[in-house]
Amino acid sequence: MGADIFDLVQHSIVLSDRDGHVTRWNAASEQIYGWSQTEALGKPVHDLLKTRRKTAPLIEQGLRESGSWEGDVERRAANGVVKTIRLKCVLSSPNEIVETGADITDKRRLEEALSRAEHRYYNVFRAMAVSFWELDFTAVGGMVERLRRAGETDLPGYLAANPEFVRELIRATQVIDVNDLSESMFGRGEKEEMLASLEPYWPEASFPVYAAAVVAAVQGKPHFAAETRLSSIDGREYDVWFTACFPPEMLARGKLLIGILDVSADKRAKTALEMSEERYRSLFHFLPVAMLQVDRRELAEVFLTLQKQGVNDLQMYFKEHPGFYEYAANSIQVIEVNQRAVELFRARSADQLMGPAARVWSEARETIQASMASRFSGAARFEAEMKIRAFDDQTRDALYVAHFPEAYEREALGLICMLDISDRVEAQTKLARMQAEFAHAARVSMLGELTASIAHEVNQPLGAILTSGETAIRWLDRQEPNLGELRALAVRTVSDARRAGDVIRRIRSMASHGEPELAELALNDVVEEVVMFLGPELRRQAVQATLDLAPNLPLVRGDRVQLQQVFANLAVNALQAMAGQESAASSSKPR
Amino acid sequence: MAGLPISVIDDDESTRIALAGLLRLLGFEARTYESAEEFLTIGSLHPCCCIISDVHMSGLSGIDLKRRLDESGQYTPMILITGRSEPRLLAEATASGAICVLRKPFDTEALLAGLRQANVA
Repeated sequence: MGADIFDLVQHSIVLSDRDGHVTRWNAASEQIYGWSQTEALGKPVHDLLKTRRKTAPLIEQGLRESGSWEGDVERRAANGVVKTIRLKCVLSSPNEIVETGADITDKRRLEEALSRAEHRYYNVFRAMAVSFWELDFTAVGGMVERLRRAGETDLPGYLAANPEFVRELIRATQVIDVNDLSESMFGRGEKEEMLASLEPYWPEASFPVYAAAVVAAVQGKPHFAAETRLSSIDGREYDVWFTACFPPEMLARGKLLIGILDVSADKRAKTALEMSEERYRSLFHFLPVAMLQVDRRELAEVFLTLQKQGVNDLQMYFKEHPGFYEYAANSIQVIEVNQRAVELFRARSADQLMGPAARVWSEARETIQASMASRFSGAARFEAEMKIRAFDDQTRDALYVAHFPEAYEREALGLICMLDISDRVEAQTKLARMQAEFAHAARVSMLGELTASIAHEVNQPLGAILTSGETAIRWLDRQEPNLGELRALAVRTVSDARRAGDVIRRIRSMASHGEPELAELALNDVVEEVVMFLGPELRRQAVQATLDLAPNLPLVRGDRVQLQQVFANLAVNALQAMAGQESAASSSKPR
Repeated sequence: MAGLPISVIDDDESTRIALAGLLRLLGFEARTYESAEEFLTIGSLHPCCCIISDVHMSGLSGIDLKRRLDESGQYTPMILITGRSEPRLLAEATASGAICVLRKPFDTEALLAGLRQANVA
């Protein structure tokens, strides 16, 4: 079949049997839909072109009832692009349907854009009042004219290069009249005050807009409009939509009408929204914290129902209703995550984290229950440490912060931030273990040290007592005991026994924190005793103790043992602080 | 019984006096010193047959003293006595080459046994 008249029309023409299977497909159809005739022949036309599902039955109904259907349909071309087709279908014989279609996609888009723009335009003018100013710029006209006569041909360039000249132009522009809105926007209650130079209202940053308006007027443009920033007489600044009309009859009289539309509020609101949205975006995606946005709509409703039923303790409810937690955790949907979250969970992509939150919280049932319970009781924030199982099957520690911003409450959205604290937890655990070990070692060593020195102090007099006693016995065994010698031995024995008793008494008071024994003490002696006492410990840790003692200190009244304990504690603290360091200095200076 | 005196070195006066008294009763001559340093200076002028020295003293310890004497070729038998009981310390004292280490308080019999080992009793 050669080219025939069908192929010469610009409209798509498709013939099909009563069931819609394509029997003819012209050149324009290939053009519009992207399918060749060979590809299209025999296929059901609505399936091939994905005629919008709702439309196809309507077409069929039209054909059945009146033999024809006309309307706009959405179809998909071979390359996937959606097109709007103005379609006319006719049942030309009992077993043949002829459809003609015109691609109106672009036209439709244009129409929509236009109607949107009109709508917006209408809204702006209806909703907002305009500030009107009548200006006399005779002087300005003269200044520009003089410039032209002086040979300046590039007015825009000259104005751009000479802001001071623009300032003079503005200063020379006189306000003749303003409307009420202008008064309230730009004045401070007195209209007369405003009927002077335009200068106070025109900040330097807006000079280029004034210059552009002058250029437009000089070039004979009928009007000029631009967005700029103007100031009230007392310095409040407005973002405005500035328009100037240059009707020839007014221009001839050196008069000018300008309209000023305050867009500040609108603009500010828009900017604030944009900014907060943008801030949120960048915060969400670039904060060095894993963030997940969750949709908890379903759970929020369940919470409401439970509260209506009088449940007020969710933790109790969890306990009484096994399975409720699983349901609740699965009802929360993760809907957005940032890159850090993907990294934290060692996921391949964000998609892996989307969906029921239960998977994400597999290791943290108690934390999540507590979080839900806190939300249930109205808290806006919950924070706890938890464990997570990442997709690499490793368990990590994370700081979990759930936040339910008020602004999101209507949508029942929640934000969850998670901070990877595995390293910190590990470091803390290690540190705690080390400290425990060190404290234990120090205790053991101190105890050993104490025992040894107690033993030494007691053994010393005991040794003397034993020797003296045995010497006395040997004297008594002699036929003529030397009574003087025996007496001396007895005296020494008693004195040594007292000495041993003193040692024991001191130890006992140290152990039981007994009454302090106040005495006049030389502090330096006490310090030296402590250093001696700690000597083995210092040597063991390869620590050198240097004493820098003030000479001639007055005696102080105190308990020797208690003071020794104080100094020993200071020294042990210093030892512990220096532990593990190659070289360190720690100094304790009594004041 | 050798004619030379026995040197007693201890920074605890009571111990010094008691030991010297006992030794004299047993028929020895005893000279006492408060420290190893005192023994090294004054004692070197007075030859002795045996040294009984405390281990822990301010300044040189009994073990240090034994080492010093060994280094200068003086092998006077030495009995170490101590009030301390840490195993490490006792092991060190025993390894120093002393005839014996007596832990205070000790029996006179133990001291006599030591002196016999030193061939002075």
